[in-house]
Amino acid sequence: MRRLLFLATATALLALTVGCGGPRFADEAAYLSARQTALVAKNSEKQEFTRDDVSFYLWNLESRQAIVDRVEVVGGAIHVIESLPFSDEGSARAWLLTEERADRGTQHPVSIVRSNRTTELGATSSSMVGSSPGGPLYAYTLPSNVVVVDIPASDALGGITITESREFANLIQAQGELGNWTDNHLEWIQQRSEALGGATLDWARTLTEFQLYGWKLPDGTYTLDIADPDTPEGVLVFRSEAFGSVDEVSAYADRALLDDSIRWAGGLQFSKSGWMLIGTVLLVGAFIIFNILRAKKGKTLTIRRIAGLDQIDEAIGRATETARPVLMVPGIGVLDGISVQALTVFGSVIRSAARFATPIRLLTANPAVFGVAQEIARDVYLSEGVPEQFDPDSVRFVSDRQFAFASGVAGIIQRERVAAAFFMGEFFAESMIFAENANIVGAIQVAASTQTTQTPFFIAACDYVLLGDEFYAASAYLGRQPVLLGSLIGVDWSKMLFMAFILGAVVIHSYNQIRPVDPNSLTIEERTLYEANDQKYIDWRTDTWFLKLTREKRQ
Amino acid sequence: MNWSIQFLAQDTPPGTNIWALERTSDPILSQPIFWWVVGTIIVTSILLFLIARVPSNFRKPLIVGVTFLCGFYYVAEWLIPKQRLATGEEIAPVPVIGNWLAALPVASSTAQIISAMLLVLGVISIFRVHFGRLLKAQKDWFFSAVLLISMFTMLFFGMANFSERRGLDVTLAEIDKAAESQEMSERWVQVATLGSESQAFTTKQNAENDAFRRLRKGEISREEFETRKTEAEDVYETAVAASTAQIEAAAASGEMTPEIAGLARAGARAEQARGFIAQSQRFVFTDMLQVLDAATFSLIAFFILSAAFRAFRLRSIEATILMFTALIILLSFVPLGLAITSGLPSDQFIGNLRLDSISDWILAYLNTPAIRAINLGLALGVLAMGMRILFGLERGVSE
Repeated sequence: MRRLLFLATATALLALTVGCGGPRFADEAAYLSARQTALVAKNSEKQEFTRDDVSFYLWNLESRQAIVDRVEVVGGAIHVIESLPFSDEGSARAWLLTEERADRGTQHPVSIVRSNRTTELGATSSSMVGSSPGGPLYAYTLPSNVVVVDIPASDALGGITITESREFANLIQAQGELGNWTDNHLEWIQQRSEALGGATLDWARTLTEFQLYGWKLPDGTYTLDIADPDTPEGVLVFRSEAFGSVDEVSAYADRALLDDSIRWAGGLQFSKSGWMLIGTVLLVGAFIIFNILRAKKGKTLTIRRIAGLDQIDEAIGRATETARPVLMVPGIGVLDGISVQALTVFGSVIRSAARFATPIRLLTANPAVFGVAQEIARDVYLSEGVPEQFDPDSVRFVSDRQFAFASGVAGIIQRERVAAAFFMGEFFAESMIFAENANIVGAIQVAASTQTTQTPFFIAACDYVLLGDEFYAASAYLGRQPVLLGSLIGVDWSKMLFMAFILGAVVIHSYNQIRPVDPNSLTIEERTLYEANDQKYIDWRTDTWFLKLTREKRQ
Repeated sequence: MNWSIQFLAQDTPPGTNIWALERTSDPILSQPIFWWVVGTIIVTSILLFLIARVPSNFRKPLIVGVTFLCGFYYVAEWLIPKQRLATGEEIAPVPVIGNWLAALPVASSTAQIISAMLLVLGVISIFRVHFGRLLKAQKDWFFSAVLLISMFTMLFFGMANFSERRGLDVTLAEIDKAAESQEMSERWVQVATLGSESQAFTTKQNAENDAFRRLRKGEISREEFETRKTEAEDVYETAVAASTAQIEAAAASGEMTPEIAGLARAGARAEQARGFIAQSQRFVFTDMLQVLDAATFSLIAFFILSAAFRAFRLRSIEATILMFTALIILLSFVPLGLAITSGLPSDQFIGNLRLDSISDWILAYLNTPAIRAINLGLALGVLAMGMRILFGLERGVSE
């Protein structure tokens, strides 16, 4: 019976997914009304191309998305061949445009527009003076030396359309006014031209995020460079593509701009920061895991004394003597590594407080932190065998607004005259309000902030401050668990690695700055650096293996 | 795999993209968003029920597993190189499993929704503490009463204002529809009249403010100011009269022109902003809460002073160094302090003893390296913490 039921369901599903072809409608009116209802559409638009009997209907849906129906009209009846979803009307129109172009072919190829203009103006020569969002800025030199520059607009049907023409007295003036190549560009263009065996820059287009360069090679073919022209190191080429003619280059750019599936730049992670960053992070991770495993195997690991953490018991002792509560604030941040670390330390504080039946106040500014804090406090009381001592109201959510929280905490400090205060986590401007109020009531204060801007305030106002990563060492210090100790040692190894790296870099860089230079052995680039430094030394930083590791290929 | 990524990213198909669903003027039961919300609540409740029923020895692996998967998504997002489209949009490089980077906003939205749900826990905590105190008439019960009244007042006006603004969206959509079908009604006459008045009033106010600013700066005379004010008044009257004529003509013909639609949109916005709810919300939030926030913030100045007074007492050699360093930095930030050593020539060796030179040196060569070292330690610490949480080694989270 069960097998029969399964077979029936499977068949039904199969029939639904495969068996049903596209729907058919008796006429256009029936199609329009049925689709309007089915798609919850705002409006529709018909597009007919010359090719075949195929038409397209663009439907704008109430949900801002769009559907394009490819339909076949046979004797008045409409058969929906396929229905393509798009995220918005723009993407749908872009797709329709590519279809239209495939239907009609390119209307204004760059090469024809350029040769037509040369003939039309009676120009003696034409050259490219710059790049614009619409395409290359071609300058036509007339026999009278007057230069006409056409400002193009991208033609969505592949090619260029001229929107405006400007006249200049000569080519240099035109270049001065319209040429948008910076010195950085010009230098790169020269180098790239040499690298491509004497290629000339024949086509260019400026996009929001990319600069396109179309190089005409000596054999008449083209290479398109897709580049980021504005990086600290100059022009960064993401990709190079080969094409047969300038029209193909232009058509490719137009099509690629409309087509969401064409990728223009790959490996952004590595081209921006290089392999060095990832390598270092992985190495640090390996250090940490290795040491955790080492500690778990029973290897004894020791860490130095941290004064602030030694004071926890004393602070709780004083609170017990005076029968006043211990206050804990895990910062005003969200539930992240910092808050979790603060709560882990507070776990130890609560444990000591539970042993002496000292009241606690754990005040939070984030509901997620509040939830975790309450669970941790309850667990600690339970594990100490005094669950009845846990007062759910001792862990409180005060407010998620910075200064409302600050006022609330300050009020509790003053009213309950807390004996000890622990401020650990992410603190901002409210840090002083907490620390000074606790100081007014004479509480012992231990503070740790991950915000270096707040650390000086805590140092000025609190009794003990955990500096920087001592905050992360706190849980290992208090709990002495192998995992925490191991990760702490791993972090220390990483710090030693960075120190060694800084020392090494200082030595290598200092040597490079003073090492003798033979001017005859220098490349053009090195000679520029040499001359920039009054012919004394080269800033070899551009040439070290390390910096090469931090860059993806530069051309 | 692909469909699940697309479903998570809510990319396609369009019919199921819940983020793009809009509230319309239709009855709530016939709107897809309502059923999506109901469905989500049911599915989440079942999931939560199932999680609660998981035997305790499976609970840790479950939490660690979910934490790892969620955390690893972000690690992978950072670690795996991305590609960029012509539009500048970053995409995942593996086409087989779809653009999982597109799921990033959904992941963030989900995190936001979970935080919003947790906020209820926070509100319950506040309510329990303060309502209990109020009920038992404990010490300071009056403050608890004030807190609860403030909280519920803010909650009421905030929610009501949100609802009204959503109502405004519906009205604007109706105006769009009316503009498309060019249908005029009595309601649109009223709204457009309000819009014309509100637009003309804004223009008049801008002109008057500009004139007043110029008068204060001494750019124009008192007479000129009065003339400009009268002109602004006249412009207001003329604009209102012209719009009224347009609206009357449209009402007579029953056809809504694009201009009238524009006035109606402005009118609908003005109607919402001038309503009791919006005004009250502005009063409790902008005029009360934000002012109190600023007042609390300003207290910090006094606290810094008292903390500095204690920190700079010359108790030890370190405190003395600290005080002198602070003094140099403080002096270098005030013109009077800079004036002390301004006579020293800055292009000679003795220029190194100028207060600004010493202060710059302290900031650049003592302060910055120290801060960088602390930041490096913090970054490594948080990396280790993140790894412990990701692999379920952190006791506080996984147990």
